[in-house]
Amino acid sequence: MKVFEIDAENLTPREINSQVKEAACEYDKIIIRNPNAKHYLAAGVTEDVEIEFDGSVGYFAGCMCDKPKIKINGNAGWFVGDNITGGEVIVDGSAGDGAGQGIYDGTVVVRESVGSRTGEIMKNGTIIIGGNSGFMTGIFMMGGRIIILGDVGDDVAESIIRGVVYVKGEIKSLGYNAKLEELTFEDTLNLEETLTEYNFDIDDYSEFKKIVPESTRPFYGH
Amino acid sequence: MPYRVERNPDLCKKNFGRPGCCWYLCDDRDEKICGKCFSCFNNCPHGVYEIIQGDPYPLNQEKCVGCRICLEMCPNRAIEVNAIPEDARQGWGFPDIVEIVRQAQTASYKLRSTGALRRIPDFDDLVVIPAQVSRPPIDKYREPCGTDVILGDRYAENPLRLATPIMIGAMSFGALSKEAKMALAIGSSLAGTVTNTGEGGMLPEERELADKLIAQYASGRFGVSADYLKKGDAIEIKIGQGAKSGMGGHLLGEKVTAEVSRIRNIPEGSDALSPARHMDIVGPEDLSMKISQLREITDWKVPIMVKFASGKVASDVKIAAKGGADIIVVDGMQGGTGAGPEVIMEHSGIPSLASIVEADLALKEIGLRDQVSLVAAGGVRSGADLAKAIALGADAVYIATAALISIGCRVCQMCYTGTCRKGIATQDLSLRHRLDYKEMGKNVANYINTMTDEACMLVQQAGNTHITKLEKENLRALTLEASALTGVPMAGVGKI
Repeated sequence: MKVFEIDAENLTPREINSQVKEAACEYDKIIIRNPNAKHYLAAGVTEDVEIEFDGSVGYFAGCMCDKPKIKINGNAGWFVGDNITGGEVIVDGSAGDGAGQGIYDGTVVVRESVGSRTGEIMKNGTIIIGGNSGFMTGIFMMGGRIIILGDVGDDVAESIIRGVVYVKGEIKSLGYNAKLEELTFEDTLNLEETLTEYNFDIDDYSEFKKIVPESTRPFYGH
Repeated sequence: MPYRVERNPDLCKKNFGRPGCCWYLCDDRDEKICGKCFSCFNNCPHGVYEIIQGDPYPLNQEKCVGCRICLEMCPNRAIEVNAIPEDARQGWGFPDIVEIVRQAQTASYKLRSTGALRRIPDFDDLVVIPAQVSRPPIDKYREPCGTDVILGDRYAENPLRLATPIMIGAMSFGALSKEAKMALAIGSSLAGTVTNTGEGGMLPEERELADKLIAQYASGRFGVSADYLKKGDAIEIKIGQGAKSGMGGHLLGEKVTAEVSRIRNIPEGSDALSPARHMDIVGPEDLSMKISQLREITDWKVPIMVKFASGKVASDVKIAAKGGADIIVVDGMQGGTGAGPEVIMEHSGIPSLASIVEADLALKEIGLRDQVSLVAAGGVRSGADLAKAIALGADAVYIATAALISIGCRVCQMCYTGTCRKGIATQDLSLRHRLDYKEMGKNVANYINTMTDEACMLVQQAGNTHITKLEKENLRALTLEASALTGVPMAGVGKI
């Protein structure tokens, strides 16, 4: 495995991203030391490469990536994994608001808790939150899966028109056009397969609650 | 304005008692109904006609909006549509009464297409003053007039270099058919300008046919990826649009076909209602961060544009300029749309005239006028409008509704239903076949070139040699309203 290391201590996001994109074409893995919570790190990388941040990252980390497998050994700011269209972003710590916003495919994993509006306007793909998620998780969701292992705040799946939210803990309230549906055996199998892949150890999959849309046209066409 | 629709039965059946050949339906001919197809009945977007004992009659005249598609498509020229004086009893016009009745019966607000239709001060309220002795005019026939512009060279490595300051504004695939998008792409390339994806993703055909293409980044983020942004020659962050200020894009489920749902990645038949605001842009710092984020993704190569519905123009423009935008678009309340609530179109926003002046002044106040390009949008129809927009402070203009009219649109205001008889605002294959995108692409280019030529005439008669050289001092107002909105002095003694 060819590994490239970047010391980001004295570099701007533009310089870091430029080096990452150049190295992504030649190396199998890129390690970024001292990311120092800078913003937009690894934005728009579309090469099949492993990227590891040795520390915390700022806003929009890993945004709009397509194939990379990104690992963040720390916390992430707002909108981690924003609009990715493939690959995966794994945060070992916690993350701010809008984790996995607008993703089209791929997987965003946050091992601890996140802020509000997780997975807003997402179209497809999977978001896994190891801890709690704040209010309006899954707002304007148009597809994909959100899996919350902890509790979730008010108005879950507000104005959802497609997709599903699984919650293991408590649900404070449902948003407009969201409803609870019976968990199926197939759901539990899929959850087990996905969560095992990302090393989450779950005792009882039947504890998950399943939230889906009531209608694909909640506002017009009646 | 109400309309009187008349069908002449003698002309209608002049071919031995049969209607003429319904040429618009020949691409989907059904012999069983051919003899009674009646183009007027089939093609009226508003249900004005009904069939009574085998013949079409314009029974529902109150529904007519004057698009004249029935007239245009009648093979025997048997239809007449004429505007009639408004029937008003004080403030109570007949259209008001019809709308109140409709609301009472359906319990729904009115959705339609197009934009504000009522009288609003516009470019026609201004004139360009001619040069004479104090400054000599330039000869239109024998002396050149420059039309090229460079937009967005503040930070972008590759700014937009256009042969004319007329750009085609954002209209999405989904709102428009693939053929309409292709026609606009061809037209923009032939005219040496740029077109815009709109917020519905990028069609491969559109990218291939357009020399220059702006990739729009709107609140629904439909079809957005790194690949999408990198294929754009500029990125336009759509904060709002003039027709639907304060609301996101509306693409109703009737037009979300399998192909549209695939490119947007939303359920087929669902409504694509973009959020009213970007979920991650709710303040000045957020916009600045968004601009930086998009620059990082596109490696600082292409201009980042920010498009606003005109409201608090000065504040919004200053925020975008200070936030690092290369190009700012102000879309006045005359701006168009494929679908939106009428109450918003008619009663929200400020006129294009006023927004251009306010935006120009705002950029000057913060000392960034020379660095940030300003694009005016909303109601631009002619070379005269272009010249006046530039004189008021714009560096370029968007045309959108006007571009659609050049490929066949007749402003019937029913785009949202997906049944466009001209094959423009529809996903129905049988209707799309009606649009010859190659020919219509030439029409778009002809129209843009002619507009540019018209503007040059006004520029030259005012004594200037480049289209961008017109200034506010070259204008006079014909109405007090336009004068007050723009600060342009009244014609004559020049008092405001």
